[in-house]
Amino acid sequence: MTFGMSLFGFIPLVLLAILVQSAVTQPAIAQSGGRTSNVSIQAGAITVQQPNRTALSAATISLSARRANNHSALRAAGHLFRTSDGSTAAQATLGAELAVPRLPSLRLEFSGTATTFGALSSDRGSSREGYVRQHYVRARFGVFGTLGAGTVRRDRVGHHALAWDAGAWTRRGMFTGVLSLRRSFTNDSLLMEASDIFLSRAARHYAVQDLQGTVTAHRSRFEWVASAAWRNGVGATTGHGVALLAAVTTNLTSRFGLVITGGQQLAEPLSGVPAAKVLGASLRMFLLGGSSTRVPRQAARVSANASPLATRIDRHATGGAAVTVRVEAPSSASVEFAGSFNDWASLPMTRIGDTFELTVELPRGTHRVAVRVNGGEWKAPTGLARVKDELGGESGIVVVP
Amino acid sequence: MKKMAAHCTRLITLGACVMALDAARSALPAQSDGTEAVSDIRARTAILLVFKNTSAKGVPIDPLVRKVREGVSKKSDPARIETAVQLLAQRLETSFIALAPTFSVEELSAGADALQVGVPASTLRDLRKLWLTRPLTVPLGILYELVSREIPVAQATKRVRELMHKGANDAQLATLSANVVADVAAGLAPDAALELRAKGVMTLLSFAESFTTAAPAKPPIRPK
Repeated sequence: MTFGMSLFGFIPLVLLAILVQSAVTQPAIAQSGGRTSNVSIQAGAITVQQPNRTALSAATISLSARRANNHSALRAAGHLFRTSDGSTAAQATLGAELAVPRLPSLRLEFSGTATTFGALSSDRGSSREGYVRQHYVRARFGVFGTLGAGTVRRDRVGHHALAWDAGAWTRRGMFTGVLSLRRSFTNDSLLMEASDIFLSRAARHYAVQDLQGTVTAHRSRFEWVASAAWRNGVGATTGHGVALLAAVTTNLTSRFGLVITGGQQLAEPLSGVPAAKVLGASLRMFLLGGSSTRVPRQAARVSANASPLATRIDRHATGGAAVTVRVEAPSSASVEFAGSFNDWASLPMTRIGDTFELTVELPRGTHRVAVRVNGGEWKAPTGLARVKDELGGESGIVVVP
Repeated sequence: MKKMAAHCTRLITLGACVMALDAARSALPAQSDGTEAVSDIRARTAILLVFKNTSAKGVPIDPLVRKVREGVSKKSDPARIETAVQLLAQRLETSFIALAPTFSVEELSAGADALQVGVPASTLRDLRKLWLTRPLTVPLGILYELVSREIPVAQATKRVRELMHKGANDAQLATLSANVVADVAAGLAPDAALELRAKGVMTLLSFAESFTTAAPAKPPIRPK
């Protein structure tokens, strides 16, 4: 049996690696406060092209559940795969995320995955992987560090892998960007050599370093994810690889969504998934709750009509909110912001692009805020409810739960 | 003899400390109430009188101090600041009575804000009865915001009251408000937007009623 055949059982899991990768970076704890629950079922097909192998197709079906409140999030998923030549694989994942008491910016995340493949054949194999990730989360950016480990059993031979990463994410408008640097160590020679990663001299393990960038965009009923990764060998390990992946999800109705994925995936040491080109489509149905990216028709109209200067209020799960105010004024203007939260002490606004912008953190409560240009009249920021201040001007209202 | 000397030394040291602390306290300036920045003496005196009368009734004057600072920061006419402070003091007193037994500055301010846009005191009393042990800061803030968006007082009150009755938490109330804002921005009439969104949130509450964790906050009891 060639190593290509040995890795064959892992092929369908390539799809899974793609589907989960964009979901694990940012904390799952409800950002907008309150409790959310959803259960979805997803079914689809995928074609997989492993290097130097004939393309194969596979059918997939998944059941996912997620529940989150202000302090914790739980997720569970089960997946079944069957390839065109009769190979099968099953996978179960359980993950949790917890806010650290009294330190609302810190979140701890755990995840564990167990897989069995080729269950009905003689070369039955399995893999187990898990990671612990620490997040530091602010309203518009966050950093994280991860430690993960995995074991892969293939053809009665066990392989072990260890990985750590460090990364950061930031959110600007509809875009979220993630950049991470990861180092992985494994003794799985079949997996590495199948993706042209070799040892130049005797060594106990392969070591590779990945630089990965992902951009996610939400717009109306669509969510786009694009990801690129560059892999290089470290120390005695030589070789390199590049991965480019893209996925688009469109929510056809409040319950149904279509997911299309395509690109090239690097070999994953923790789970033993080989490098391959993939193209797949699946239909998702929510049995309970709805998509986090689902945008009803009415709201879609909002995004088209709402002013780009509208004040943005990002409520934190743990209370308080980040309020971003934007004002359109000539670049030479002096623009100030003030409010009841700081006893009306003026704060200068900064020129960013074509507008002046300022983000302030507001505690729970009802606040009144106002802006003025060049020392003129105080006015309510765009998009906020206006109220007379009984001093001859007006203020905008911000209610923070 | 030695014991007595040590005892005297301790007493002298303690006395010196007490005197030093008292001197330091006297030397510190009184906490600013914002009125020193009001240029007109007559207006300043009138504002201080409002502070005194309000405080005498047991009503916190922090919102009044904040209003003075707002007026000074906005460079308003002293007479306007005086009028604004008087009006706010009246609303705070009404809010204080209607929302009893709370002593929370945030809650009383929210009540005064709601009164400013035309919410009657009877509504404040009604909401207090509904949430006797939970702070009304957010529900009143939402009411204030909705009415400021030209949603009729009766309609806004009805919807907020319904949500409170069904056990909505602060985040759900705020979500209702945010959704109404989005709908209004999209061109929907404010009252229609409220109807649409309130029904949506209430459907969710009916579903979640069995496991909602709208944890009761500490009762805002006025200290004796």
